[in-house]
Amino acid sequence: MEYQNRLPEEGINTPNRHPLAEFIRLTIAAVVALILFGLLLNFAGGHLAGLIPYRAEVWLTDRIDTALTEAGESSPFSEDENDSPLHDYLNQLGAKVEQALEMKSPMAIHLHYSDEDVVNAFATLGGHVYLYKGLLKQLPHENALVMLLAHEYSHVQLRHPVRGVGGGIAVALGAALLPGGAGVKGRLYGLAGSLSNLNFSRDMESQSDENGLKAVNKIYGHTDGADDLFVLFMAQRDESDVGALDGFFSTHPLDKQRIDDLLRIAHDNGWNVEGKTTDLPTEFMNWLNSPGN
Amino acid sequence: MIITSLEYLPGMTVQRHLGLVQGSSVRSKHAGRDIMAGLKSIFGGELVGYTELLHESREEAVERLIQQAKSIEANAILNVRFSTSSIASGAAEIFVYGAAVQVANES
Amino acid sequence: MIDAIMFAVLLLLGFGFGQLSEKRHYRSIIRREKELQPIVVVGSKHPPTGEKFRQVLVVGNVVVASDYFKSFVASLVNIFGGRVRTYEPLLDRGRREALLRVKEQAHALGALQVFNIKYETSRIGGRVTTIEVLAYGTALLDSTLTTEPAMHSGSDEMSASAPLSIAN
Repeated sequence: MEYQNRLPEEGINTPNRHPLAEFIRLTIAAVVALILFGLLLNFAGGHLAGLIPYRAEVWLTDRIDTALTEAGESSPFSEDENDSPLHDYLNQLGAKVEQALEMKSPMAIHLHYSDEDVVNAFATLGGHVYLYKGLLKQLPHENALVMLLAHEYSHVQLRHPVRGVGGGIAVALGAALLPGGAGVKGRLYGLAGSLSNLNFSRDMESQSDENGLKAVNKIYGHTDGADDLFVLFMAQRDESDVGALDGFFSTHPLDKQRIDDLLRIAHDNGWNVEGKTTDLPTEFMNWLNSPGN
Repeated sequence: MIITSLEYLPGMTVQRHLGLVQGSSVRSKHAGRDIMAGLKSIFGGELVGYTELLHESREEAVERLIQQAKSIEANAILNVRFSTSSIASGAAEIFVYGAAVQVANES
Repeated sequence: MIDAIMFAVLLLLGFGFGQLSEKRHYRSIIRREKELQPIVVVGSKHPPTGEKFRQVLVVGNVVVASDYFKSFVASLVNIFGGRVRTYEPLLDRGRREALLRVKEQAHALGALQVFNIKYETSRIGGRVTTIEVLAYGTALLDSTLTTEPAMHSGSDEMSASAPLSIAN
């Protein structure tokens, strides 16, 4: 018997010692896979949430409202006190819009007014629509206000808030399911989720724009002035001077694009784009501009 | 290449011991399999996906063991042992090693 | 944002220093393996019979850590599954280093043979993948030797190219 100590060739157990190429390949693949996964979950979650009956949504927001009020917190689902001329007027317009949009009766909309100087408005769960003083003050005429209301009401009608929440929950659940979701993967996944969310909500905005325009046309017989709402937004955004990436990361379609789309939609449907705009009641404007409101 | 977990080969004599040879392979299960296996592990039983994965990994490790033995002109590997260890979460290493020898038929 | 920068810095540092230390370690391993080639490590359980030997258990262990970069690549592989190539050098280094320590110990004892080598690998927690490799075996010492022989140095006595054979 003979004993030798021969050394095997190098590299049999370590054929590839350069991890950089693998890193690049895997990173690209991981980002793509995570984005696809996030998109899929967001889409599926949104659609599932859309199947929840509106009554269940309202029931839920009422429960949240009760709980928040009991805890002494401010609730986004509480009723405003409807005693101002503003509310009378807005509710009156809202009723017109509901009719124009052919909203089914159980879809009760609750209009809220906030005296913050923010150029914004939004619709949330349970048919609660928020209008900010900052935006209302700048509206040039009633047509733009109707466009705004119709746009937000359309979100409620199409169940956009609940679908957005459903998609968000699905994405969050997916992130929790992923192995090692806390670290870098979690961060990548979060980015994927928010990207897909943007895409989802941009579609929603375009849908609501179209429905809003339809309502404006029904109420006034023409669509003139509806695009002034977005002219206003555009001016606002120019002032705050946002970067070039804004278009990509914005939840809303670009304002210029929206204005063009509105014209195209009106043209495609043969709606009259020229017409006389209706002024906002002076009583309403006075109330808005008086201090303390 | 003769691979055995025995010390001797019946009917053959070991002429020369050439040293230790080893093969290793690290595998990771993918996220989809993880989720399925996670569900399955609630009920217990064999996780077929993982069985296959480790089987594949073991085959590769043995392949490398043989390559090492060939590179030092051995014709048999005796006393082969396997060991499996978890390296990181979701990644397992299969390691196999044995004594590389030259054997001949008993005359 | 700060998180992202920290992460990029860690990746870069991990990559640079990880590759450097791996290269250096391999150079040392290859050099010492050649130096210690006369110490014969045998996988077999059965030492040559008919001679008188003293037996000593020799043990070598090493804890090695992967780097941040390689651990990250491995965690990406975890999404798709499959071969984790970035951990292969880590394990290879651990095994060879542990065995070298066994040989160094045997060499210090004056043994020329170590029988029935076994390995044990275990994972040690930490942010970056860390493992311990333990190698152990039985060194055979010529019982006629009364004094412990001095450590060999240089390659005059132990030619790296010609394997030492022991006739039995």
